[in-house]
Amino acid sequence: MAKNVLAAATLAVALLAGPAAAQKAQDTLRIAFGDPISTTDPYIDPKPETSLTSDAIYDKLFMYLSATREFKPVLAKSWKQVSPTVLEVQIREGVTFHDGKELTADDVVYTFNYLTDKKSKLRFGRNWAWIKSTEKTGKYSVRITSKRPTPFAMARLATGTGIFPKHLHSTFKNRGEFGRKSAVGSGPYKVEYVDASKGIKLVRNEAYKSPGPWRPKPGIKTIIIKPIPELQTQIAQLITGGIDVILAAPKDQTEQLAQSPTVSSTAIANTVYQYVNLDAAGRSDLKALKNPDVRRALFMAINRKSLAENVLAGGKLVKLIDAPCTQSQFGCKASVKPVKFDKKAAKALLAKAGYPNGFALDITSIPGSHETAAAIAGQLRAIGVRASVSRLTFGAYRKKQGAGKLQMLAANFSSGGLPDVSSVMAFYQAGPRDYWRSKEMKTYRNKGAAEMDPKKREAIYDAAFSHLNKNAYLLPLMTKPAVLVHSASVTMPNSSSLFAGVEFYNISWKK
Amino acid sequence: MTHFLTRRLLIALLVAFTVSIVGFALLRLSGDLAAVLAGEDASAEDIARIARQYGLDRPFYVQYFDWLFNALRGDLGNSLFTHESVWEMITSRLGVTVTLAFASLFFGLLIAIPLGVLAAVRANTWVDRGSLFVAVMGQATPNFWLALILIYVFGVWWRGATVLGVRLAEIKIFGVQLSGLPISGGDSWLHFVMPVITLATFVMPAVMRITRTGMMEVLSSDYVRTARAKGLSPTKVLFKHSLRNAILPVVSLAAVQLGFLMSGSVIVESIFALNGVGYLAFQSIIRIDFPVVQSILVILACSYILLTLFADMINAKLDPRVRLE
Repeated sequence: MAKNVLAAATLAVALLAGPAAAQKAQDTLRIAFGDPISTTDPYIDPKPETSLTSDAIYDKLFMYLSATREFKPVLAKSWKQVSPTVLEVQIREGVTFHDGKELTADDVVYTFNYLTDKKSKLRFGRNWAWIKSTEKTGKYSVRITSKRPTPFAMARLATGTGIFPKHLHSTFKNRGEFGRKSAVGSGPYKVEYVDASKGIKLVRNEAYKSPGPWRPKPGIKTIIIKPIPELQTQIAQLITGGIDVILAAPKDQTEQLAQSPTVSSTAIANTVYQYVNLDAAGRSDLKALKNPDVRRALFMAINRKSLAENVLAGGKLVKLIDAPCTQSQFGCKASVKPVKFDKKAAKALLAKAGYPNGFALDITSIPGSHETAAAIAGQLRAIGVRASVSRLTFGAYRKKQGAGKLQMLAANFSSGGLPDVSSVMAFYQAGPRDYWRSKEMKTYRNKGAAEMDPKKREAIYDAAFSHLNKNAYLLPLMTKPAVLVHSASVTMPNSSSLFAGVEFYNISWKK
Repeated sequence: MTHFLTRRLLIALLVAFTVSIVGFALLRLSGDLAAVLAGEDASAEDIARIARQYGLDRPFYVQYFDWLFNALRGDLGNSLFTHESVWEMITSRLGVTVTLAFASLFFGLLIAIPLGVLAAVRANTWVDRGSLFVAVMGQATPNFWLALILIYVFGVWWRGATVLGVRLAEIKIFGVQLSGLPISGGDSWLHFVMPVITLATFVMPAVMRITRTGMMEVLSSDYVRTARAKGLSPTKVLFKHSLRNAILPVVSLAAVQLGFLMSGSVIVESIFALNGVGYLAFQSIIRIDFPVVQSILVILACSYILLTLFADMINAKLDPRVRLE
């Protein structure tokens, strides 16, 4: 009934083109954030919404184009890997921060030193822990030295490593205040206000010197980010013209909304994917999972194609994957594919493994994967496995994981947008998240993180993901594109280097 | 009076202390804060480093007393997730929650008390039955459902609806165009209309029933019979002599409900995107942002005590027989 009400409401208000036209005339785009942010600083509050906003404000040295799989310069003019541990970067001259001060090597050195300083108390400081030192070699040149050969260094610097103004950031005793009270960057948008109630207002930086068409001057003058936690409220605002963009909605509601002439949806490929993994190490009380045949049987019962078609929004961009990564990430390949869906064979294999009547299985899911977990539970019940789903918050899941109580986990992973599978390999290190205790995976992980030759690195990751599939430790499911539901007067690009959405400067009004 | 206030203050401190310990313990049990802070792909070393950096590897009692001693000196600390001052986070949001709470209580009482009086005066008639029906419906209606229905009717449907050939959004009353109510945000008083209606619906039923019960009891008492016999007007009997006595339990109830409105309006705040303390508390609990949750718990506990104290003082004013002991 709720769906019919939504459909009726959408169509009833569809004739109200007035609000959308008014916003286009004012050149103002309003985006709803379900998880409100109170800072633009991605180092202090590294969540998806902050990374989306900060990308528009703080330029990085480079960026990665997932469409063409290449690095492009932003603040950098050129760069050279002079040795496996030394990267030299030449910075563009004449780039200014939003307050007019020129950006120089001092700001780059300052930012990287801040990121690597243990006193900075950054939650994700490990992302830059590979940096040994950053030195200024000239007014517009820096040398970044890593502790050891770091093949993903460029990828990391291209992902969420915006440069901060030393003359402003260093003046804050509590550095966390910078992203709220100053928020000055060199990017295509500048901040007019950051307010916990009103949201964030970004205004086009008219003095922005675009490095190239990959990071152009924005088409839209003003962006207002509105905090609206409840999805139904966001939808009501969208169909009445109160906002222009929703970042995510469930598949059924996305499809229903897109039927309206005033609303569209755009799926955008990114680095997010869904997967399930099993307790192959026998840490939980379900020892059956130690048996590879049992694990294979469970994975054979999962119809990934059906999940891709029916659970996630995104249409053709929801693609089945053979490895726990997406094609835009370097090293994403598995010569040995996951087991094929075959319900009959799954049941037979389970019986052969000694479980003709199945067993009880707890599937843990985290936010973003609850629907997938519920669908998988249904598929497993078809082969006699009495699957139930425990929907947990992230904190509760981590606690359960650390306590060794996970049997099956259905989750999604974004790599933080990193276009390199090295972040995926972080799953296979020893510690509370290790449910495989696989020496081979640890070896692959360490080798891949140290190998600078791209071809050899690809071969290492291929072997790693093939090993995963052979032993049925983990079943990669499908990609989870970002699906933006927006006013029909807005045009969205269909690819993005950001996992949480789309670059603001690539959004434009429909002509 | 001094003795009464001193005793109440000591009780307040004891309650705040107990709430802070219980809240601290429950938060710790609800999840691994260091793992949450460190993120999905953190190694055991990363989590341990975060635990050291944030002092989460210290014994439970050390962490608690560290927070307590700082709080007593007025330093509520910073959010673990945004590094924002907890005091600033709470005070910047308190206005919205207090406005919502007081406005909801006011309108709830405005409807419930007259309805309760009417129901008592017309006991066992259709007026009484109707009032009880309204109270039961108010009590049974989940406030999240009501909030979404209000958004749909007054925020969405109204804008495109046509009734008897007239577009509702084009109707003007006293020169003001009824173009529908704003759906979310807190920029103007109009943004509070639907949230206040939602919460007033929560306040109204219990107040109405207690008023009705109290009035019925008082109206059948000897002194009211005497007042009628002396020839006093029905209005004077009702409002000067009866209501004043019947209202005493309502004052206490209103105080408790106000406390609940201030702490429990998280659903309404998130549906209507009102950036209040309720939603902040919800966000912080999910994230296990301990300094924020602790501070909100203690502040709300103290607010409850102050409200009940205030209610007792009003009751003493209304009924001279009540002594503050």
